[in-house]
Amino acid sequence: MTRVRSRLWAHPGIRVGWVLVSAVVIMAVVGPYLSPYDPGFQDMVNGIDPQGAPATPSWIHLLGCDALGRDVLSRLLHGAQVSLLVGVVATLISLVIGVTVGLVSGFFGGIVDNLAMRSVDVVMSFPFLLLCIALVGVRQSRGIENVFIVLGLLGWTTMARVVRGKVLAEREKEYVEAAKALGLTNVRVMVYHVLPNVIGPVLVLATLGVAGSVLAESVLSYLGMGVPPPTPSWGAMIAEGQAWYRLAPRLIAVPGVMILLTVLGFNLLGEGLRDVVDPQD
Amino acid sequence: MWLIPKIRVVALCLLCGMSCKQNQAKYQPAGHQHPVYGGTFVYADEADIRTLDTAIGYDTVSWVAAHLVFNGLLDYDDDVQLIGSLASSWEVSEDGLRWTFRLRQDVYFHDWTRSDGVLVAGRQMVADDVIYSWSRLFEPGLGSPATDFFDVIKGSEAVLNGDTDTISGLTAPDPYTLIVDLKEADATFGNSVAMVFGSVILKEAVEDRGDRWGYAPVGTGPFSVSEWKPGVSTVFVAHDKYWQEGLPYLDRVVHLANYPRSVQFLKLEAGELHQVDRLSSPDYLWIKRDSFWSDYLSELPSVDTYAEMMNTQMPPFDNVWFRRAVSTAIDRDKIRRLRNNRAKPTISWIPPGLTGHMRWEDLSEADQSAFVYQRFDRELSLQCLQKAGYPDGYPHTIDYMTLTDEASLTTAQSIQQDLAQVGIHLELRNTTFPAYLASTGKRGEVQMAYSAWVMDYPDAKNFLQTKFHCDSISDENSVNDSFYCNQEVDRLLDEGAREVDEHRRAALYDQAHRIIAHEAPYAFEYHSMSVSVGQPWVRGFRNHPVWIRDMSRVWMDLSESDRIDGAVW
Repeated sequence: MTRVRSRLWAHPGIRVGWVLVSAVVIMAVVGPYLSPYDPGFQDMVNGIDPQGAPATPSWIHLLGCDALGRDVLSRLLHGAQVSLLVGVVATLISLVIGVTVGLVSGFFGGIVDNLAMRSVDVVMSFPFLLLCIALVGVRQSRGIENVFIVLGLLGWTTMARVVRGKVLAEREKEYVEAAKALGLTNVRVMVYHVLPNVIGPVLVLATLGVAGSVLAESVLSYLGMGVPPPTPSWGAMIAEGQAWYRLAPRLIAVPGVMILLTVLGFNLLGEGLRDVVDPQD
Repeated sequence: MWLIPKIRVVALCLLCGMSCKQNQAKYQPAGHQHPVYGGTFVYADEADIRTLDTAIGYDTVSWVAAHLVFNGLLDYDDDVQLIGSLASSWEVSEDGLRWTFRLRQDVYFHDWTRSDGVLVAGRQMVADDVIYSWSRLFEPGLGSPATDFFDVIKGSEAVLNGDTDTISGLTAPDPYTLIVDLKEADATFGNSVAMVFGSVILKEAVEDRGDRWGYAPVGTGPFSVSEWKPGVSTVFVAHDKYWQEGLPYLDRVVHLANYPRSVQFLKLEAGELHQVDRLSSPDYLWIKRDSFWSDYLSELPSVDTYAEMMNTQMPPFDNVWFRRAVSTAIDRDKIRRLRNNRAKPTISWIPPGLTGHMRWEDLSEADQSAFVYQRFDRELSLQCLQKAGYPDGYPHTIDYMTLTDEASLTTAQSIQQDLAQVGIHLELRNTTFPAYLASTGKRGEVQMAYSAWVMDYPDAKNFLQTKFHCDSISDENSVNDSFYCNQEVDRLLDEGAREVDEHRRAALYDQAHRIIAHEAPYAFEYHSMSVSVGQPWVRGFRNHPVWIRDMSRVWMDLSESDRIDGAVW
């Protein structure tokens, strides 16, 4: 265990990624308690200047205010929660679907495999944004659950393919034969014997998936299809601030940098994990 | 040795980026003292022109374009006084029941191409064309919102019922005289005639083009439509037989559709647009602080009112106390701040400049009670909510529709925050202008929405009757989008419309205004400023209180080469 930990820590990407991800996680968990204001609070005294421009950073509002006089720092801290929640939940959904489909498809092969892989092809060929628009239209509402569903339902395909590939190799091995010979059911063989041997790449993909989901949530919120206002989200903060790019560029820069650091952190962590778990790749 | 300073200069310029760039226009004015001919004027909107069928279009984007293509018998001058247009003169009988219009004899329709490819020269306009144009408004199944303005003409209902094609109250004793007989006196009939609905259209072209008429219209205006790419652009070319001596100066006008407001000013800076209005807050503040563009900024009070519409036929807004709770929860002064002081908070639906406009400060204590639900008072809002039966706040989310531009979204979020303070939660649904019009005009479709009314003509009737009379309600395209219907208000408005005495009329409208304010189908919010910025070389452009953008007299003060270069867009 100590050997694994030291191997992980020896990787510079993992170290940097770990620090960044930990910082964002701490921000998401503790941030809302530290936030100086309610994220929806409009400070009409100090948040907006007499001409109606958002207040610049000061001791009252450390990162200034947005066009509605709301504290940018408070929104940033609350937004971290949304971004991370979406990243984790959407990845969990795709993890469950992807691993199940991959396991079953690789283990049984034949027509099951064929059906599963063709459905992967169908989902992969579906335009991501089109599905989002359709879903928001069908549900007649905008909400964080839409983002979970869309990202979860579209994100499992790569996972399924990778797991299937690994299972195809594993199922031929002797320990699987042995387990079958002992009379274990297929489900037990898959869950207790095959799954632990394919979990390495799954972890790597899941970490990278969180980065992808955080980014996708920002895109959706930026396009007005993500988390509805007034819930703060980094993507929505950029969308709301973009018109002010000349007078208050920080309204885009601040959430933009946060998205950048979060995605960078998860990517570094994922790539590092891959190097350690699967060195031959 | 010299390399180092050069690198420094390059690096400095790179670092400075845009800030080093001297802000200036693409061309310099040539300094012509008199109008010169030629050039293309390009403007843009966030939406496309909905239709150029003048019987149907009833929104600002369509009307601005329609004013390029069509004329009515009457028009407005810069002070919004009625003047003759296709009618050289007009007179009204003493009892107000007969209007006689003398038509100009030098008016020609645009040349047009028939569906079989034959080019038809535009013929002279005569009184029968006016009779056809106005009768068509009542065509069964057309669903024209114009009927409310023209149904005072005798015999109009027979056309609406499908008994005849022509309104019997319209007669033409000779080709250049039109006599209009009204059922009852109507002080604002002249204003109705001047509306886009009263435009004169070419019967042959309507019949030839059928469903395409709204996209390929033929009128008598200074420009004709030469090309329309739906959702992209519309090109208007000069009408060479236009009746107004010497006009138009421009060769072409181009309307670009679906340009977000934030992009419009960038396009203006790049010289690709000639005028931008309804500036967003960031653009407005940027221009005000910019030494170059601030010289070309124009600010005029608009004759309009912005408000929140509450659908009185849908719960919870069928409860008057709930509507009052919403109206009193909205902090109007906050909107003024967020809109850079361009929004003037109000308690009145009738805007300043029109008879019937109300100011809280001017009202006696007794009179204030009628308008008490049209101002921000959180305590009162909570009391109203309690009376509505929701002492702990409204348990459901309310569907709120607004537009996608920065101003609408900022206002919507501010209102969302205000209402959350009293326990009412809005879910914001932002949509495009045509979708917004279609949805809010449909019965039972939208609970609450951003709304505004810009003057069609300078009379309180236009604000009250159009938006709050039961007759303005229809299942689709309802102009009365709060679906508010009150028999007493209808009676007062009907009497007011008939009343010729100005004082008695004002008193009747005043009473109706009070009832509406008190029952709050709308939460009145503010009157806006019309703010626009244009290119330094554009002359003759007018921000008109009715026509908003009047481009009929625009000319380009450019050298010939710049004019040719600038004509390519």
